Amino acid sequence: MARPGNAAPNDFEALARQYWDAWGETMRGGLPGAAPAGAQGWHEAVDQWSKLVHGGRGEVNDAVERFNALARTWFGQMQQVAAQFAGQDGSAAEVTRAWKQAMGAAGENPFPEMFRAMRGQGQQGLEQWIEDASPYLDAWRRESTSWLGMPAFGFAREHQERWQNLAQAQLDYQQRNSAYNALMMKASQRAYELFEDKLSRHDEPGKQIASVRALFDLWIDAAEEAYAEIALSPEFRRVYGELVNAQMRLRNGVQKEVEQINATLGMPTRTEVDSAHRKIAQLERELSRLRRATEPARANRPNKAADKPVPRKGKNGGKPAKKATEKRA
Amino acid sequence: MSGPVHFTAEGLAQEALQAQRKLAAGVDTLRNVDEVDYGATARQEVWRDGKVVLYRFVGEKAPTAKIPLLISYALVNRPYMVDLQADRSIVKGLLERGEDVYVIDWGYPDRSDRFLTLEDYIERFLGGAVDHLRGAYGLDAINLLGICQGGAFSLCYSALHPERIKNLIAMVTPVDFHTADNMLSNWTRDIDVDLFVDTLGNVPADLMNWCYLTLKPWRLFAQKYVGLVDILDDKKAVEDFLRMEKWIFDSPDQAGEAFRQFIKQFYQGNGFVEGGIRIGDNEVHLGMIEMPVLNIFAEQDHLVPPASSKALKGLVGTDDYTELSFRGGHIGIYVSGRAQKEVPDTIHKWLSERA
Repeated sequence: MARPGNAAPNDFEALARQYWDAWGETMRGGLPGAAPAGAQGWHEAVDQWSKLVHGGRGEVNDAVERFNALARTWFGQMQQVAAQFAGQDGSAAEVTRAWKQAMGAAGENPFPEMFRAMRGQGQQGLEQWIEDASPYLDAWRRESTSWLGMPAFGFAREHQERWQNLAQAQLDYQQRNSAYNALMMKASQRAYELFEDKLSRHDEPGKQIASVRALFDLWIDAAEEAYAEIALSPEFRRVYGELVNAQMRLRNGVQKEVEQINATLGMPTRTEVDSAHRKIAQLERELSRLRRATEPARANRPNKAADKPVPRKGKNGGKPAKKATEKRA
Repeated sequence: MSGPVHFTAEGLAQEALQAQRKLAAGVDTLRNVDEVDYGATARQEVWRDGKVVLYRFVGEKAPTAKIPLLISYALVNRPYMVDLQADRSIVKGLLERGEDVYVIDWGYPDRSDRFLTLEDYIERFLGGAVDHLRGAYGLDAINLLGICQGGAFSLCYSALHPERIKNLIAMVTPVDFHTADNMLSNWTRDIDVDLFVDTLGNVPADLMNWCYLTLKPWRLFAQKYVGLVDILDDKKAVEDFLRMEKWIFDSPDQAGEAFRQFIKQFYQGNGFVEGGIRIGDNEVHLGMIEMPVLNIFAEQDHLVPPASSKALKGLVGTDDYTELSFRGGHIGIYVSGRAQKEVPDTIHKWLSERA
């Protein structure tokens, strides 16, 4: 029977053993503050494991990919932090600092990194489109930069103005994205504060955290709490709304360009296809209205509008402008 | 040792070894998991309009209820959450208690459905299914169970056609969209939804999923998949996990026009509370709902905060209003162990008293 994936189980077992041995050696060595060789081993072991189980059913592959995208990295880094404090004291501030450092470049603002890692089968955020479209956007920007600032006139005036708007939309999106990332930075800093605060509540024997998993869960609690504070704020509402709107303007501009090209080549445009679909939907709606108006809902006893009750309470229920809900176009 | 952490070499090594054992066991488990399917109960197609299908669930015994119960689920996920698997099925529980259960499957809208409106969904599809059942059973009115967004649709329909709904059950249904703890609502309020829909057409399912996951990104992503390691040696638990994953990511795109109207009138306009919801040519007033209402909400619901659902009490016109506050979340209310008894029991008893 063919095995799923392209790795042999022995490879994983060997790597896992290597990972385990590395942990054991590091721990036995008891080097204060030493980052264990096993931390990297975790990455490799999980990588190998993911390859091993990949290749079977689609839903298994999807789940494994999601697992590999995040659990491997974040949990591996937390292992590294825990190992640094094995057998030694560490204050809440020191543990927090170590966690921040363990995340490397993402340590300052882990939220964007988290969102990037979240992409995959079945979930795509807004920034994915920007990345997908970036070859086109970059090429177009290079081509047009030289005359974007020129006043629009002459036979290409309409085109130039459209391109200028598109360039502006791209700049605008970058600014809105920076504002959003700044807000995520705020959430990150708050997450570290909360993490330290939560850690300090374990600052006595009997309450101390003794497992990587417990430390990881505490970080999750802190990060979620910090994120929720920001995400429920009016500031987030504004910044998020502006980000979404900016990207839609940019997409819209790109789509107009594509329409221009399609029209030039004699291809049907999206507007034309939409127009046809709109007509069909409208026709179906009209037909449905006619049917509802003419066919009795029950074969034997047609409904009577007079049977309907009159509203008795409710803030908006007390002022029905049109009680005759059977009104049809 | 002092400080908040107390890690020992042995403890950390044991934890690492344990993770390694789980991963090793997972190799076999993941290779041998059974086909992850969903839908525990047999069903028959009884009516169809385009991609929308009305199914009747077929239980092991004939229903004793004389009035059919129609389930209207949300557009944003597939309706089989109510019948996920044999030991996690609200539908199965209702059938066992004698209810005659139907569900509307909204299907997967494609580009040709981009101009479907709320009128299409509520009057044509939901109304069509209601009328089909009324005709088939020779009844003036049937029982309606609306869930989440499907609950909002059910409220609209019941307010517009109160004579056709005998008993209304709203489950994790958003009513007041402007409560302070509603994160989704906060995110949608400053979005130019006209520009959004005009640009995207249908709203991609992947974008919707991403949006839902980012409500709790660390918990729903990092923590959940780290937690997967714990169950890798348990075939049944892994199958349950994968089935839930399949449900979460098996999402339809959203028909553009209906999405536009829903965001504008419900999320931005808070129309149930403030007024102004229009379905086709008709305005919705919850005060028109005078049939008995059972409102079931989840206390730890992060998608539809309980306060949002509880607002229904002050808006409906009925004197027969009942609430069930369920200890759990938006998903737990269908699939948790406690839900399997508590939810069908409550619904069946409540309906029986109003048969």
